[in-house]
Parts: sequence; C-alpha cells; structure tokens
Amino acid sequence: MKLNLFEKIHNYGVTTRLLESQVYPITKTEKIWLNTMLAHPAAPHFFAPETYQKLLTFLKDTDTLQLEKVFVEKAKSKVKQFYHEWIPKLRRIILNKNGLMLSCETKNGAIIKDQAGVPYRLEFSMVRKEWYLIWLLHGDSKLLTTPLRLIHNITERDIPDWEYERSELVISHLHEERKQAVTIEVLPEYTGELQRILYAFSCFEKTGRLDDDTGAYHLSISFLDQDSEYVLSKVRFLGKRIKVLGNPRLQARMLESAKKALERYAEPL
Amino acid sequence: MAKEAFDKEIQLLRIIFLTGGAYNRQQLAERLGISVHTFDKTLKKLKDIFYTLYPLMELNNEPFNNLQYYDMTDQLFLFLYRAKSVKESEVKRLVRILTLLRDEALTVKDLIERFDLDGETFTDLPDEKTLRQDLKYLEELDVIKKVTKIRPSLYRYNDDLTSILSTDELLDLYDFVHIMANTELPSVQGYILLDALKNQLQFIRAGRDLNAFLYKYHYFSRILDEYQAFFLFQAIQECKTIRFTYYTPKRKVRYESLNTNPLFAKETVGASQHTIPLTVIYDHQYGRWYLVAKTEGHPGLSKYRLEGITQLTVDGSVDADELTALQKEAEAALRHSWLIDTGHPVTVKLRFYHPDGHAFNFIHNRVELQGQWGIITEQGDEWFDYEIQVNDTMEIKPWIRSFGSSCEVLSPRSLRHQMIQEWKEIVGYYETESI
Repeated sequence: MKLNLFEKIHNYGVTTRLLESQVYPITKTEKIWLNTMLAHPAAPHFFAPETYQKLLTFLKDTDTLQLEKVFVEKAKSKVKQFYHEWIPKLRRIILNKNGLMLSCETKNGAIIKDQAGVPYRLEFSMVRKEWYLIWLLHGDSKLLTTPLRLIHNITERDIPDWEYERSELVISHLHEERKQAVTIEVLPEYTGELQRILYAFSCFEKTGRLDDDTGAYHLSISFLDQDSEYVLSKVRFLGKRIKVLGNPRLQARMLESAKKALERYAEPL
Repeated sequence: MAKEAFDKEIQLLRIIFLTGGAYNRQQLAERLGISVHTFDKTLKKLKDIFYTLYPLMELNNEPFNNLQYYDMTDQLFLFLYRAKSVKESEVKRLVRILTLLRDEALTVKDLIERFDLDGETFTDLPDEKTLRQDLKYLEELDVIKKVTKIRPSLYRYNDDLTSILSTDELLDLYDFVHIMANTELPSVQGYILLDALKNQLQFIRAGRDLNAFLYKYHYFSRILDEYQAFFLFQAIQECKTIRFTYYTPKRKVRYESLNTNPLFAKETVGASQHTIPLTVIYDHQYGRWYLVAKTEGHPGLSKYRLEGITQLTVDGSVDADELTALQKEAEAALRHSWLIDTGHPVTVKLRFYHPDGHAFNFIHNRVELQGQWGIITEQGDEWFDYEIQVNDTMEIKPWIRSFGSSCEVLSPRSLRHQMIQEWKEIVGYYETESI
C-alpha cells in the first residue's frame, strides 16, 4: 500500500480539534511502523510476555515496512544495551513524581548503599549506546549521572509533588551552572564543507554567527562539563577544517592531543 | 510528487536550524533562492502551524533556531508532517465524523441526521456522496471500520489498538515507541503514533507529565529528510525511475522557487537529474541521508545527498530484473564503504592505545561499538591492533582522527603520512596562540 507521510487526518487543524474531543486516531501507516519495530530483537523486553503477544496477535494481518532491499544504514554503532530492566521501574517513579532509594556501584568499584534521591530523566547516549539515570542526590544538591548497568537496587520513596517539582528546579539550575561554552570556527577555506560540519554539530545546543569581514563561520556550542570529552572527539573528527576558540582548557587539550599524536608517529615503523 | 510539495519548507527549516540563527532573513532568502517576501510568508505559515500545535511555545519567537536539550519534550520538527493543507470545511467534517463515530456505531444516514446537532454548526451540510468519500478514506486508513457486512453499513471508530491494552500496558507501549522512534529509522510514523499515545495517556492520567527520556547527541533534524527518503523507498519498491533538480550542498543557493508561469521562469541553477534509484543510505556519523542511483550514460554509481534533492517526481519504469541486477551491483560496490565511497579497496591497520589510569577501557569499547566490520587482530598490554578493508581511506579518516593520540595508523603508509601532516597543522593552530 501507498504510505503517505502527509496524511490529511494528521493535519494540524484536524489534530488539535480532535484532541479537544479526546479522539486520537491511529492509522494503518502507524500500525505498519509499529509492526515493523515489534520485530526488533529487543522489542519483547519492553513488554510483559502477554502484552507482547497481544500486540503481535492484533497486528498479525498488518504489513511491515520491508525496507531491507531499499535502505542501508552506515556507520551505525552496535547497540549493547537497547533495553535495561530498570527502565520500567524508573520511568514509573518519574511519572509518579516520587523519590527513590538507590544502591549502586561507582565507576571505581565502590559500593553505594541506599542513597536517597530524586530521579529526573533516563538518558540514552546515542554515542555510547547506553542508558543512564540522571538524578539528584537528597540533601546536598548533587546531580549524578549513573549508568543503569551499575545499579543494584531501587526502591520507590513517596514524596509530595511539590518536593519533586522543587528538585526539578534545582536540577535545571544546576544544568545552567554546569554549562560550558566553546566557539568553533570553520576556517574560510573550508566553507565549501560548511554543510557537513554543521550537520556534525547539529546534535548540540548552538548558535551561529557569520564573520562578515573574514567570511569565517562561528558556531557557539554549549554543553555540560561532563561532555567535554565528546566535544573534543568531535573537534578532532573534523580535523583542520575547524578551530576551537574561547575555551582555554579545550584549546590546551587540543594542543596536547595533537602533540601526543605526533609523538606516536615519531618512531618510523 | 503529490500536488503539494514541501521542499521550500524543509529547506527553510533545515537552514535555520543548522546555521543556528547566523543569517538574517535577507541572507536566508538569498541562500534559499526565494524573495524575502516569500521567505517571510513561508516562515509565518510554519510558525502558525507550530504555535497551533504547541501554544505554550508562542513565547519563543525563534522556535527553530536552536534546541534546548533538557526542555525538549517532543520531536521539534514533527509539525512539518502535519502541514498538509486541508480545507476548513473538510477539517470540520472529518472531526465531526470521527467524534460521532467515537460515541456510537452509525450508518451514513444516521451520520447525516446527526451532523448538525449540537456543537459546531455547518453552513453547508455535506451531501451523502461527500460523506461516503470521507468514510471510504477513513476506512482505508483503518481509523474507522465497518461493524457488519450487511447493508446499510454500520461504521464505528477504530481504537482497537489502544482499547485492548490496560493503562499500564499503554505506558509500556508509549515507552517502546518513544525509544524506537528516537533511536531507529525510519521514525516519522513512530513520532505520530507517539503523539496519539501521549494524548490518550495524558487524558487517562489527568494531564500527568509523561516525559522520562532524553537522547543525548541525537540528530534531531534528521526527520526532515524522511520525506524524500519515503518517496524514494516507494519509487524503488515500485521499480520507478525518477526526475529531480539537484543542488550540491556546496552551492550557496539551496532551493529555487518553481515559477508556474513560464514567462517568468528563472533559469534554474540546480542540475536536472533523471535516474534509476537503487538504495537509500543513512549515515549515522553525520546524520545525513543519501541516494545511490544509476544514471544512464554515467559510469559507475551516482550518489546524491537527500538535502539537495528538490522537485522529486516519479518519471518512468525500470524492468524489475534490471533493477535487481543494478541493486546487486550497488550492494557489492558499497559493501566496504565506510559511508558511501565506492573507491578502491584498501586494508587499513590501526593501533589503539589503552587509556592511562582508567579501570574501564573506553577506547576498546568505542572500537567495538563503532568499528563496523573491522576486526581486532592482536592485543598487547598497552595496545590492540585493528584491521579493516574499506573503499578508499577518505571516509574512515575522521573516525581515526577522533581518537586523537589513542590511535596510530600503521598502514597504508600514505594514510600514516597524511595523519602526521594533519596533526602538524593542528599543532600549528594552537601553538601560535597564547592559551
């Protein structure tokens, strides 16, 4: 069947008015997509066995997209952890606006037992292909990002909604505080590759500026300090086309990294 | 393509988002090859649609310039797929039909009788023929279904997918769709499904906030190109040839208005292409889409970036066996492409160094995740060797460079030499400055 991505029934006017009447139509196209995704090897983990079976039975006469012969993905990372067993529990604690008691292991192998806190979001890193929990430690305004694989135990802890909402404000404040900025200059001789470079940085919060005098393109990127390693790898990825400005620490790291790389090549093979 | 194309809207959203507000409206209009007036009109139309769907965003006058990662709740660009123009009378009709059928099963005659009762008034009551057409459309979409086979047909609203699930199961489905739409491709239909599930769940749970997931370093604008990708998927599946105007991304002008009056038609700067589409490629490294095609008279394969394709139409047909043969040829040529390069195969040998003082070997982990079909050949105490056969070294180079001093090119010699040169230049960038 012909799949139309621009369906009349999904028009914004229709959608908003149906929403007022609590009608949320799901068309064949979405069912075909769902049926395709339910065949993903990780899909059964997301549901109780009877729910998964119920969905499969319901969709048994529905087509799948069948893109195998027409679509290829390149440079796709292997996914180690598409699903994690803590996801349903944590997402429900977040939905209930509750706190938690968490036991986990740290990166260095130390054990943390029954630490009280407030869960904020489950974050999937598209680069590391791993799930993390962003949560606020009770009492001392410390924001943590813990890989789900290191979590040993979680129990839900009832807190009033206002306390959860106050934690959200604290988290938002901490994010602002931790934000770093860096300017990426695309050297004028490489503006022919600007589109590609902009794509590479399109996963960051950013603002752009064109230097009318030099023709150089400046992209200001903001990121959390814990992400600076990723920013650096992106900068190295693009090599000599771009230059880091306005962040002495990252500039020093780039110099160090380039010098060390040259040292690797100092001895001929 | 269909009567209504969205080339201009997509190009506009993409350039605004990618350049992060670097250009003013004159510069943007110039780059899009349209007048400032058309630019303003198009942007206003897009904003109107966006604010209709997200009234709370109206405070933000530049909603497409940037993303605020921690504030993101919905896929920012999904609204584009809700931009299809529908006449106001048709909007009203479709809404009325679905609302009536949601409450009870009805025949066409029942529908006509109830159409004008309570709620909105209809100045022109739809005739039976129009209603039958609407019902046919909705039935084809599977949004309504016939209850019985005997005439007159009784129709009912079809919410079977969500009604077979408990609230708890619906939440699991919502989470599954959320994660699949954000991490897998294609995703537009997933985001649309997600919207429906979200609205339903929020209604059940009295407006409770469902946000729980974030996707770090996601290429959020990638759904803009799914529009072209889907058209191409279907063209290939139906053995069609296609025609389009191509703008290489290096050109400044991205789009040029298609003037319907030939007297005023400007000479287009884009190049007209007529070709057999073979496969669509998504490159996860940059978040970009490509078309691989066979163009008559051109040796080898032609590759196009989807962002440069406009005025895409189906043109003729290609023999199914010929298409299969060409696809096999393309598959073989692309087997060792890091991305899409079909140049000469080269064996690249790399040495990766273990990180100092870290319990977790993140270098090894990254090579395992991202090293595609390459294999780890040898392990030492401080390093491991990796080997891969790729078509030319150009496309793998950025990946190698991203490891910095943790990766050394062992062979080929030419690539080793290029790396040394590049690192020297980069040292030069930072050494000269007082930092």
